[in-house]
Amino acid sequence: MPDRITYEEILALASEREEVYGPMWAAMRKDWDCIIASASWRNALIPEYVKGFPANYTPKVPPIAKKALELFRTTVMVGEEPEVKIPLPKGMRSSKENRRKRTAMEDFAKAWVYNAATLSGINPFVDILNKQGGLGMGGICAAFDFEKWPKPLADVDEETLEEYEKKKKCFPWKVSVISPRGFMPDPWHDPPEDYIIKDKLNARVARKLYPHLTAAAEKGKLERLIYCSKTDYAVYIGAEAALAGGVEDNPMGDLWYETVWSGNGELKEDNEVEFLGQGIIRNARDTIAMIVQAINVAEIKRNVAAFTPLHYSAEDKTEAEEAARATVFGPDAILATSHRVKIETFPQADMPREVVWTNEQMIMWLRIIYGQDILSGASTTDTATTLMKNISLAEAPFKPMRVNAEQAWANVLRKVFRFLANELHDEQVSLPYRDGAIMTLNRADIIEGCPIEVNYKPPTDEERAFNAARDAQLLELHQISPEEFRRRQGIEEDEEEQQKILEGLLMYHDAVVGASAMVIANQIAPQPTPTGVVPEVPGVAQNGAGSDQRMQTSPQQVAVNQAQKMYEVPLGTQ
Amino acid sequence: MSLYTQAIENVKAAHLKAIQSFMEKNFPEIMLDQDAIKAEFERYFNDSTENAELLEQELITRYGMEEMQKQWARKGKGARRKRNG
Repeated sequence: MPDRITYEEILALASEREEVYGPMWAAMRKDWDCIIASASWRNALIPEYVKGFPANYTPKVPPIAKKALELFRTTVMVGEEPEVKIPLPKGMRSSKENRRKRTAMEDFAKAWVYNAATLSGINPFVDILNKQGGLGMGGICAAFDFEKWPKPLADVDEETLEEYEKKKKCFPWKVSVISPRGFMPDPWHDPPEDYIIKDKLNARVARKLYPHLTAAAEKGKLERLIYCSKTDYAVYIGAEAALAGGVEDNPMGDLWYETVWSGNGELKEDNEVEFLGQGIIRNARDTIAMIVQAINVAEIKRNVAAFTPLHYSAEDKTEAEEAARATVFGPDAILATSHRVKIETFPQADMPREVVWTNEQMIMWLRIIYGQDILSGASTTDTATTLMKNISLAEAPFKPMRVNAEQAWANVLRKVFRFLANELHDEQVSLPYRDGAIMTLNRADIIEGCPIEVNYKPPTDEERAFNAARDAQLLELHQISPEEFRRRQGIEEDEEEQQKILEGLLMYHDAVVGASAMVIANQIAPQPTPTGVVPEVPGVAQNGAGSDQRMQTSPQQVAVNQAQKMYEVPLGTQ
Repeated sequence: MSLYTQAIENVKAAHLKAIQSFMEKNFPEIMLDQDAIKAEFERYFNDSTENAELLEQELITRYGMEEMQKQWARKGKGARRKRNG
């Protein structure tokens, strides 16, 4: 029996990792406060930043961070789920069988992604962007659900077999996204060798998930500690082991977690991760606070301009106060005072030029952080190239995050195939897909080492058309090979199809048609063998003018005309 | 035999067949010599395609583009069907 990790060791690891990840979590908490500032700013970070307003004034907090996160999501993601492509490994022969396997794997991966996106209440593909993009890091959990997956049957009646087949068409994976706070991958190995997750869950849910629990409370939220390595798996609720055997064998034999860093941060010189996990909010926090402050200052100035404070003076202060109390502000208001009462507006300070300058600075910084608001200036007369360039510029600040998320999902799918390659023997796994289709994968369909490409933003029809036109140009200029062209356009390597296309092109090619025409011409009017002496032909003016000879069509031309007639009907290769 | 060579052979055979039926229909009085026609066709074809590599490259380039156009025509139809419900 292998040496198992003990509860004490897990606790020690958790404590060590809390120290490692603690500063990063503290920074993430502030990022989170910024994101939810508009919804609950009073209890959060913004009051720390936005200060110095009159006592009875309530600052307004526009949802800048929240909108920045939405902008990030909509910029890097199109639709509900990413696109998956599985090409054959480089150098592998593109035989019919290999192409069939590749298609089976790709269809299965597409169905997997579709189920993961649609079956859970929170779309994990969107959620991971919120976590890694917004806060700086997130975790993906894609565990195989052995309870959902029916056990293989032996010697059963037809009815049971039908039931089994029906049950098999499920999605036996639990796919979710883990918040970075409490998610502790092994910080000393890349990729991590184990994961510790600390979170809270409802007591009822805990009892249902882990029936072995006896000491755990019946109500409220309970702290859960999960340990997962390739060999060991343990869950503790409070200090109580939630699994029957305490620390058990990892049922999947693989790590079903995946770490997704934002790609925006960097390690400190002593390998501390505090700045490694930083999302799009971290460096914009001060700028956001400045904008909030500026908006509120402008709001106050506007109010003061609209409802200018008045100064009442009289010889007697009581008389001034009475006049002030009697004042009704508004259109048609009439105020009667004695000649001793003087009413003046409060002097207002002019807005210094520096204020305008800082406003420009704030906008500039936001553009640096979130990209130019270039699309707002798009003109209908812009060329497709300009628009494509603008879209690409808008994406630039978010690209590392998008790439990291795509790589993480590709790793998850790689693990899914690895697991199935070990787990499936004679069985097959079928997943429901769009429009009631069922995607089935057999063990034999899995090609090891296939690259998996996940794309959060597959090109739109317009972009595809643009790319196709550009690639066709490159192909004509011999800057890319026909193979590369086909790869880019997603054209399958189908030899039969290729041959048909080549034949279609050759059938009416000048060289072939010309040869046919010449053969026919020679059959109709055989050419005399050249004798070496060419008789002199009298010059004939244009249109036969100046000559009594009529225009004559040469036998060759007659033949060519006949041949052209022939090509009015399509030729077949049969 | 490469795809290209096979395609050329098939196309030559199709053309020879077409020439024969054209001649039989329109000039029944002319006696045809199959072998001579074949040899002649080969000669004219080889004369006009001295640089076989260039022809192959040209075909492949055109193939790439035509395949792309076909794909887009297919996608366009799909999109139209979707839009029309």
